[in-house]
Amino acid sequence: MRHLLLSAALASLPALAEEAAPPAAPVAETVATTDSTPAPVPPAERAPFAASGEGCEVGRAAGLPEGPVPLAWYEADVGTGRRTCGRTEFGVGTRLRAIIDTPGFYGNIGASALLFGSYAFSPRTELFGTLEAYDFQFVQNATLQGTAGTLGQLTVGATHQVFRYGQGGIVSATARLMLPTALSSPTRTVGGEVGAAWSHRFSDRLRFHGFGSVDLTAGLGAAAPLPRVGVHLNGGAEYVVCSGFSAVLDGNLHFGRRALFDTFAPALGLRARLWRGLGLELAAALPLVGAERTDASLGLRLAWRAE
Amino acid sequence: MRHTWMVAALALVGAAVAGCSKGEGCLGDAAGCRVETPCKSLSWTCEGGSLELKVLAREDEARPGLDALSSAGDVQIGNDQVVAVIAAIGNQNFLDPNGGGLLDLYNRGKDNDSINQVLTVTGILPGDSVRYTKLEILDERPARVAVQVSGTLDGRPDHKVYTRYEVRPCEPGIRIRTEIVNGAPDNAMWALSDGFYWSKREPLPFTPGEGVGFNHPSFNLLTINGAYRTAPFLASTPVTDPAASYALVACNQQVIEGFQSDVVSTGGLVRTVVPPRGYQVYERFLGVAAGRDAAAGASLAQEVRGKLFGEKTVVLSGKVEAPASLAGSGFRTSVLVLEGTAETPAEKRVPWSQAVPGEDGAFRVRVPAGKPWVVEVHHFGKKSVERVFDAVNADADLGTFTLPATAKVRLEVSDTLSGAWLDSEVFLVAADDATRTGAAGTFHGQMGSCSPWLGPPPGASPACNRVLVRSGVAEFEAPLGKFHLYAFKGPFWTLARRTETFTPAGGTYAFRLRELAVQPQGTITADLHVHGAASFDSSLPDRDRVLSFAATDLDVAVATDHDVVYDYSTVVAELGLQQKLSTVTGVETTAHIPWFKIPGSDFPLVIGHYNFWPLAYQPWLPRNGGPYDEQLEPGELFDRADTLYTSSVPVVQLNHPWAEAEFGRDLGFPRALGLNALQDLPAKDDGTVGGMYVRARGKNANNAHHAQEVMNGTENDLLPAYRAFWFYTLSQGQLSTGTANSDSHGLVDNTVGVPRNVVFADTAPGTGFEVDRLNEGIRAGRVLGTNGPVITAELSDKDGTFRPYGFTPVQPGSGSALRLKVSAAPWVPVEEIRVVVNGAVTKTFSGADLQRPGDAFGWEGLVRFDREIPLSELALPAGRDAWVVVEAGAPLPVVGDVGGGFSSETVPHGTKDGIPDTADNDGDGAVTEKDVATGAKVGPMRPPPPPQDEAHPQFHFSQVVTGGYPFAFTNPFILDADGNGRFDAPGAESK
Repeated sequence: MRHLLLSAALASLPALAEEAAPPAAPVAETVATTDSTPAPVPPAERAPFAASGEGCEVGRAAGLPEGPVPLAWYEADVGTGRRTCGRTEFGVGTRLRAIIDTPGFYGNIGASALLFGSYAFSPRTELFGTLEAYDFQFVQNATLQGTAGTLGQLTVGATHQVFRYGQGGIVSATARLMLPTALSSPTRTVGGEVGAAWSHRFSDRLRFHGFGSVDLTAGLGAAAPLPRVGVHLNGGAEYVVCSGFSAVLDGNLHFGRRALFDTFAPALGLRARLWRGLGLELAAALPLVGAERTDASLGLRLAWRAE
Repeated sequence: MRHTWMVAALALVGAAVAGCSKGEGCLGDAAGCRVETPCKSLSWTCEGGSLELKVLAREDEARPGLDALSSAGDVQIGNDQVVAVIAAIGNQNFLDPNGGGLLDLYNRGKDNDSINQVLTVTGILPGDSVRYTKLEILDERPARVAVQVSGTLDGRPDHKVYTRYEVRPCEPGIRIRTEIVNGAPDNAMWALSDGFYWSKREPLPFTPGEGVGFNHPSFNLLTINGAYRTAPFLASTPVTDPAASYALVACNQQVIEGFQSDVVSTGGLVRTVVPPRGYQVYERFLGVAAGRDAAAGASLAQEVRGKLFGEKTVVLSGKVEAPASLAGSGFRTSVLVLEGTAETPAEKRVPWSQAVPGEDGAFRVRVPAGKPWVVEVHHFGKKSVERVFDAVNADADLGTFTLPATAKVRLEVSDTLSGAWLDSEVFLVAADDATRTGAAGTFHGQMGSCSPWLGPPPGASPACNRVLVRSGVAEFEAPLGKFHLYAFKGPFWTLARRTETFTPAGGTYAFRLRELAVQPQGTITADLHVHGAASFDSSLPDRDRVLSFAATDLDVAVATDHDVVYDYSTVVAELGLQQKLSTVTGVETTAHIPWFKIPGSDFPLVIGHYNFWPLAYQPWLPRNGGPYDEQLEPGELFDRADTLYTSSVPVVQLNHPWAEAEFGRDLGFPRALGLNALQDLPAKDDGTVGGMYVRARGKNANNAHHAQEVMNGTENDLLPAYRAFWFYTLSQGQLSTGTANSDSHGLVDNTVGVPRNVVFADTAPGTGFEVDRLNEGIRAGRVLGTNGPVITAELSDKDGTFRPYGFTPVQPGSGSALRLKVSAAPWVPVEEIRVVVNGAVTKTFSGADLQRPGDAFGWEGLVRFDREIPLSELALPAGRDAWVVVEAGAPLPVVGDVGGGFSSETVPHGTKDGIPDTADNDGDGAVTEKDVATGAKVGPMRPPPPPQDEAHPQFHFSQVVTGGYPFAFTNPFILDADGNGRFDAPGAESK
């Protein structure tokens, strides 16, 4: 099933690109590029990526999310990639995750309502956070089933640009803390993640990104802390079909959380600008190989971002 | 330096992890940890309290109750009130993967252990039980003694479990605390509970609840989640003496949650989704009280709740008077106490207790204070008296309850010829509709209905509608009415009947029985599959079990209790039967833990049941010396048994090969595999289920059993399936002796010795009995299986010499013939004789071919058929080897193969497998989809309903061979028609 979904998603990518193929558009509004023309263009016809100072204006399109697909199967946004540039935004989202392990007589459907946001001190630095405002779990084994719904975990973190090269390359350092806000257990889970994000504008329509991190989580309370260390590697490409729509395809590798090799999981995100700074992202991630039991994860995020 | 804040953040996380874990009990999994003492707010005081703690040794071989299982190495903790036994690590029993469970719990000095085992579980899957790997003894006297066991959920090392069993002085039970941590990265669904393995015909669970008490919602493995209910406590009621009642109360939760059935009960924490790193702690008090009722446990439970939660209770007492009653009420009188008023509908009343009055008729129950009560007195399985009481706020005497009149009955049974008193069994059958209705009863709706209901069906005599007669005499109390009384002493004796009206005046009724000359010379009768109280699913005391052997005139009974070797010889001697009755020590291995899978299915299976004998009875060993039988293929199990036999000629018997699974556990290996009897077996493992059936992982192959059941149980409902499978294996050249056994667990479920095996063996019952001779006869196929008819058959070879049936090939000649004689007691109708060749009936004798006796209760007209039949009339395959079986009795029921074979997601409706799965349930003479029960894929395989018309030839037979129909079969003649000196099996297509 997961393979079918992935195939369908991949097959739809070129179709989307063709359908929304923009005219041979002019490019940047204010910054000259190799094929720019001096004549200004109205905002609605702005190119998807526009270069500016600090490199972070590159690729900035109001309302259009950017960077890696923010979808994984851990607490809040742990184990997801981050973008390289700071932005100020606020959003709500939901994330669905399914484990359907028939031979193991186990099933778990998880649904989280997310609140997330970030504040950019500058194009180079942002603080961000994600709260699982409501985390719902349905669990079934061969004979028993049950549900639980509580406040979930909160993460807070920061990203800071540390390196820039050429006109389109940025490397940022990022870190986040996971705070023990979840009420589903007497054991409170805390964690931290440090990593680096990379992005590179290949052309006005195509941008590459990458992310690598190490995360540590552990329990607080009466029970053993059971610390877990994970390593996350992400690489992907984002293709901007037009200023109001883009698609991103990521590959994610994760190690150490569940086994030495957790998973290789491609993720697909479809991003759209709805109105001004209001953007929407629909995403899916499908672990294909490895010890990860999640069959699929789906996400829908709606965010407003300051222009 | 710019990343200093990141490092600081990680350091903060580390510090939090290190500094904030409190490490309560053993949740932190620290080396040397100690689980905290459970139920801290609970206390008892007494004078002279004491404590005991010891590791059992070989010499501690006492059996403190019908369900006692303790063996050397187990740990016994106790006080002045109770004794508990915790299984040593590695002492595996039943559902417990590796020891560490609670095996025995009884009142000191009462020897009334009535639990098979109590296990800590998180559900009912194999992986929901705990595999303990470490046991620590905690001697903290004088305050307490305890045992701490630790391990993980079975096969799930991420889920660590610690359990502490603790006994303090003066306390009427054991404190238990379990700690479990979800160390896996996934959410877990847990119902952390105590699992009570009652296993049918044993104590019944009782929980207060609207319309509940003993009446719990039915469920199967797929609907069990909906059967969970909460209750303030769980109690149990026994069905036989020496009796104990148990009480389970949670200490760290106001209620217990669980499902209840007569097979398995659970009580514990409310089902919970436990996230990764989450944990659960379950503290409870498990009490035991001597008593024949739930009241003993329920009163204790409410005493505990009073101490824990401050609940107020009152004691209701009263007296039951039964005119003309024999001393004591036995289990036939029961007082049910329900919260409610006269206006409260029955389904809304809350049963809080159930009491069996004592010898003087007095009863006492503890119930919550301030509630109105309805008190029902049940007598002989029926509600006889109901009285209502307003809210009771203080202890109260409810007065006297007077029961309707009954009859004192005395039975006398003697030998017609010698006048000697006989051990026998008397069946009571209602003789008119008014009596049938008026005398019908149940145990509060449980354990089946009987008319008359003389006592709990699983228990001692009188049970249901039957009474054991010892040395010619039995006395019992019965409801009034008109009854047929059948005196029965097995299928080779006459049957006597009287029709009497029981009045308050009572009466004495005499019967005379006579042994009939139907059993062939040189044979011995044997039931190779019987159970008693040693089995986890039997409550029949040893005395009644052995007496039942004598009552049906069995020569040999092989003790095949579930998973425990047992020896009845001591009781045989106590009853003075050792000169005419022999018992053999054996075991029925009963796999409990599903593990293996067949191609195309994700469901784990067990290998079913096998009998092994003779084995040494060694009560100081786990399973009394029986083989470990979990997670082994049959051949591997046979290898283990090979080291345990006490004879060079042992027998392994495949039991009920095609029985339906119970509670997700297969009862027969062939059906577990889903063998297809339309396909030939491969010579070796080819990756198919057929390959699994024949493969060997060690010395023995999985199909290396010597015998397999063709008849199992008195009702014989699955005979067509067992018969078809046996025929299939014979056609595959797997020469396994067909046997006929009762599989009796009590006096009612099946009548011991019906059916039975008539074995040609050069030995006799009594002190000179040689089990090797019996086994040689069995292994050679020299066995007739029967519940009444007796077939004598010989076949002449090419030289004209008549040969017996069995596995020695016979080379027939052109003039060969089958010499066939069928005899039976006059009450056993023989309506048809069939000759089966390679699985197909090729010759039938019926109607005028057969003789019929004039008087079913006489002793003449035994021979029904005596003729020599040329082989040329049997449609043997020309020039090819064949096997021939002879059957006699009633016509076979109309059955068919609707498609009960292997099913899976890709084969949802099941394949036809050559094994009958459905009877002609609509009576239209054909088996079609219309016969299948609603919601089922196939079945049921009900036998024909017993005749109601006394003129029916099977009427009397069906009163004492309950639910059955006459049937007998020989083992096969093996015809080496091509004369090559061996049997060339005809294969599946031959039929």
